Amino acid sequence: MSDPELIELRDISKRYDRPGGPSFDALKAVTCTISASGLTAVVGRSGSGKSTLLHLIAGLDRPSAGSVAVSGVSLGSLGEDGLAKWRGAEVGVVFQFFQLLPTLTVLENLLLAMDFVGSVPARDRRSRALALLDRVGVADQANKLPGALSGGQQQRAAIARALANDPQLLVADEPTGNLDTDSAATVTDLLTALAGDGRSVVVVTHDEGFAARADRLIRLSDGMIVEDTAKAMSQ
Amino acid sequence: MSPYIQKAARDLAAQPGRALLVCLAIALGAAALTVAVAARSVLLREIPASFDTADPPAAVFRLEDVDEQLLDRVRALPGVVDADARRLVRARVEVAPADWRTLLLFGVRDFADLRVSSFEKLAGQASPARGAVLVERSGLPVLGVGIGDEIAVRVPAGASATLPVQGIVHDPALAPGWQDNAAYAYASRETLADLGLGSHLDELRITVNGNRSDTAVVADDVAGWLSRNGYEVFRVEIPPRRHPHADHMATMLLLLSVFSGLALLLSGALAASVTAALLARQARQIGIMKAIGARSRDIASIYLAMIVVLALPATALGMGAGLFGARAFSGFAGRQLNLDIASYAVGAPTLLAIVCAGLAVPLLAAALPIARAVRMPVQKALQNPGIAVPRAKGDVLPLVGRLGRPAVLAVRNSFRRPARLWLTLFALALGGAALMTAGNVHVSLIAAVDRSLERRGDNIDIRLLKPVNAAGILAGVRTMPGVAHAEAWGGALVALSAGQSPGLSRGRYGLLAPPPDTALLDVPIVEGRWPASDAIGELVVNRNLQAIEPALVVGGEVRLALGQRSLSARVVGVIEEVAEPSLYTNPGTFAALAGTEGLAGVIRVTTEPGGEARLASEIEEVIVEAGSIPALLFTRPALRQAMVDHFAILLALLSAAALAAIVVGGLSLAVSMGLNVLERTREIGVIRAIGARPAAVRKLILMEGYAIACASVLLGGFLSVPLSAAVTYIVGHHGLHLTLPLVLSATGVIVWSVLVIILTLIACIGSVRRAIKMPVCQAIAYG
Repeated sequence: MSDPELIELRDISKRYDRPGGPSFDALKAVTCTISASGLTAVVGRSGSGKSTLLHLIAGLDRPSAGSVAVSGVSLGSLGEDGLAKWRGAEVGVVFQFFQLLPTLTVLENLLLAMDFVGSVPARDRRSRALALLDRVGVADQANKLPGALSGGQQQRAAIARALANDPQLLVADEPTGNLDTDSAATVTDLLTALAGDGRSVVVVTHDEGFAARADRLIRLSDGMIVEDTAKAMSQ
Repeated sequence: MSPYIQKAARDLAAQPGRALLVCLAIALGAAALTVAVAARSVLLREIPASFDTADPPAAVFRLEDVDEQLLDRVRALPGVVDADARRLVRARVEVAPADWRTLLLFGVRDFADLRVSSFEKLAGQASPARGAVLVERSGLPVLGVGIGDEIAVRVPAGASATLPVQGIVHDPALAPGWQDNAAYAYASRETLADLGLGSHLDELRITVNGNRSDTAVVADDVAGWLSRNGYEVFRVEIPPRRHPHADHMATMLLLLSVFSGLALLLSGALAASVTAALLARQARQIGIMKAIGARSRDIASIYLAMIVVLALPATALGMGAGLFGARAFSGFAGRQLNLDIASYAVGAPTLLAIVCAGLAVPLLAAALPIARAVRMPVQKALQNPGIAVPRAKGDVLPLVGRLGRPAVLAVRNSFRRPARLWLTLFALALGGAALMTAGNVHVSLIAAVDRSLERRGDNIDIRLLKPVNAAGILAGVRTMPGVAHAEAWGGALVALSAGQSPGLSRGRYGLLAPPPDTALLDVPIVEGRWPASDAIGELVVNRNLQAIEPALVVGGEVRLALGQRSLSARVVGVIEEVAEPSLYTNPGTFAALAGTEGLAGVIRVTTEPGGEARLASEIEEVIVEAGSIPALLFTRPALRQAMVDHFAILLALLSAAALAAIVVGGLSLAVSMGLNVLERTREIGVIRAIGARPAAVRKLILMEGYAIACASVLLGGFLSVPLSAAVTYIVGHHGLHLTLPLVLSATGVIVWSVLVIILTLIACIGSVRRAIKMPVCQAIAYG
């Protein structure tokens, strides 16, 4: 029995207006669905529309046309406030440059994410944050500012923050793009493991090795899906 | 065009928001500086110029009568530029039923030929008909009349008459009538005669070339010539050649200088803050340029060019606005002093100085960040994220941690850019300090007035034009219902001569002789002592008199003249009080000078609360029945108001400076918050990406603003202490000649706290909007 669909993209397009130049279509009538668990890799050349697709899935941007629905919720029907609330509770976002808040400690970065959403009881937040940091292997760095951590440690802390509110969907934009080989391998393992835990992980990547480990591969070119391959389940 | 300029211009075009903020900051600084410097320049020129248009007399000789023949002969004397005849009659005018005020009625020789003490016609007739008067404009608020109305006048002999007003004039040599609760009117010889005052003009007024010491020589010569030619000279005065409120003007100009300096500081702080922020974003580009061979001076040139490109239009804009503000303030100051500002033009050197300062301040402010950027190693510059990455958590207050994560984030963010934080704090705190200082000085002035009035104890103070029998007048006043206590003092306007010119009066001032057991005077001596009760010829002077007559120091000898009688006296003490220039002595000395005992020139009365106005009116009738009229009459509320009105211009200046400082401080906060939010666009995007709702982002930015605002209240409070002390000292010693108490009013702190909350809200609105409006993905990609 296949996993239920978590994300449904229907005819989505995204057009960017460029001052002094022609407008640019980053995505052109893309339609696809993504299941509620497993690792999905989105690949393609620079400018092919990968990050735009990821932003639309995560509710970080709105399409120019078409609709995005996640867990049956049409993101277009949500206002800014509702979208923020939904995003905090349902989506974890991992960025290429980590984007930990530099004035908060690693632990505080996680706590802040839980503060915003409020789904984890206040008394449980600290222990949950420490458990998540332990899971990604940076619990000993919890009280340090992000600037004191290596790139790999920061990215792992960022993954822990993305998991803070236990979202069903994790999206990652080039999560290994700014890491050395060893750190990239650690992060790849971590995200793959999370996908195996019954979570849907969507990763935009240039790393062919990482893409090869995905359950499904979506290739974009010029804003259109040119390849959509599901790996045969090993079990 | 040079590639340097091209790069500077295109970089600015690429960041129009920041460029606008920098322009705004520089323009504000230039505007504040221009207001202070230009207003000072205009007032410094126009105040004496306007005063001089009145052709004020260099010397005044009191004679029996001055006719045309005498005037012609005096005009021909060496050193005399011109001469005219005038008469001053102290009268009363009824402004409401039974409400009489002081009227200085001038008898004029020829309205068509004003040679000394001239005035300008503003409306109506230039020469009043027989039985009519012209009135001076500054007394109109007191009189409440216009052309065609009539005024009821009571003259020294006690006669009353109704005189139509036929014209309004402006006499810039007179203190504003509304401030002294008095009015001025001008009438012909014939009108004076009709009032029963005789048609004579008893003052010979001359103008001379040269300074005050030259004037003394010429006045001596003229006095000698008059005596040799059979004219009896009762008195010679050399009035101070300055506006009656010259001290206030000098203080105001001094304060304007202080505020010019503050404006310069604020301007620098603001410019430094925004230019540093502008350059921070250029760090990577600097790295790239260095990598392709740019030398330090090339890079410095580009960014200095960028600052010049911004500073030129900003300074022009700021100067324009500043000149407009300077015009408004100078006009206000002129009206407060009863002076007309003939020209608001600002001299080319002053404008050049402002332009230089307007360009130099941002360039100097930018020099440090430019030098820092230029020295940065290539690799570091290339990796510079454009925003400081903190190395320590930097919790300033442990308590902040208890306010929750957003508060921690807000406070830590505030300290992200310590230099900018301090500059913003400084600008904002200076605004608060200026506001608190204005409040403190205001309270201090009012406290000084109230303390002065409290020490006197009377509710009604009357100076009689002609002394009357003390016992008789007291008997009448003390039996009036509502009178709690009354005293009759010796008192008169006396002429004095300090120095080696016996018989040459420098001016006339009030001499007061309270009884030894007076309950209505308790002024502490600041130098020397009070006159001994039985010593003849001992005087105490107040600081206001000392400011005009510096020779009157403790131990100084002076000759007093009252009518035909004179007396040698010695200054034995000095007092400080909120009052006109005055001397004090004992009744014995006054009796010796007046030649008779038991005369009262001053009546002071304590009444039951609330009955001052009615009793003052009744006492005036008693005085008239006794054969005199009040030369001055003040109830305590009226006197208090008059004293406070005299400070109006200083308070207005302080308030204007406070307002300007608040605006600059508020904008500084807005600029700083705008830049903070701009620099952290990506971080705010991340916060939104992890679930922060718009309200949470709004709260975060506002908390950061309030963190700065709270600190500004504290810092402003500290800064206000030395600033208040300095301004209180300047206003007290230079303007009022007394030691003002340093008052630190809680009201100022409260008002500033409320204002700063509102300012923060306003300052953060734009930043909040921008932070929320930008799509999250765009915010994350920002950089």
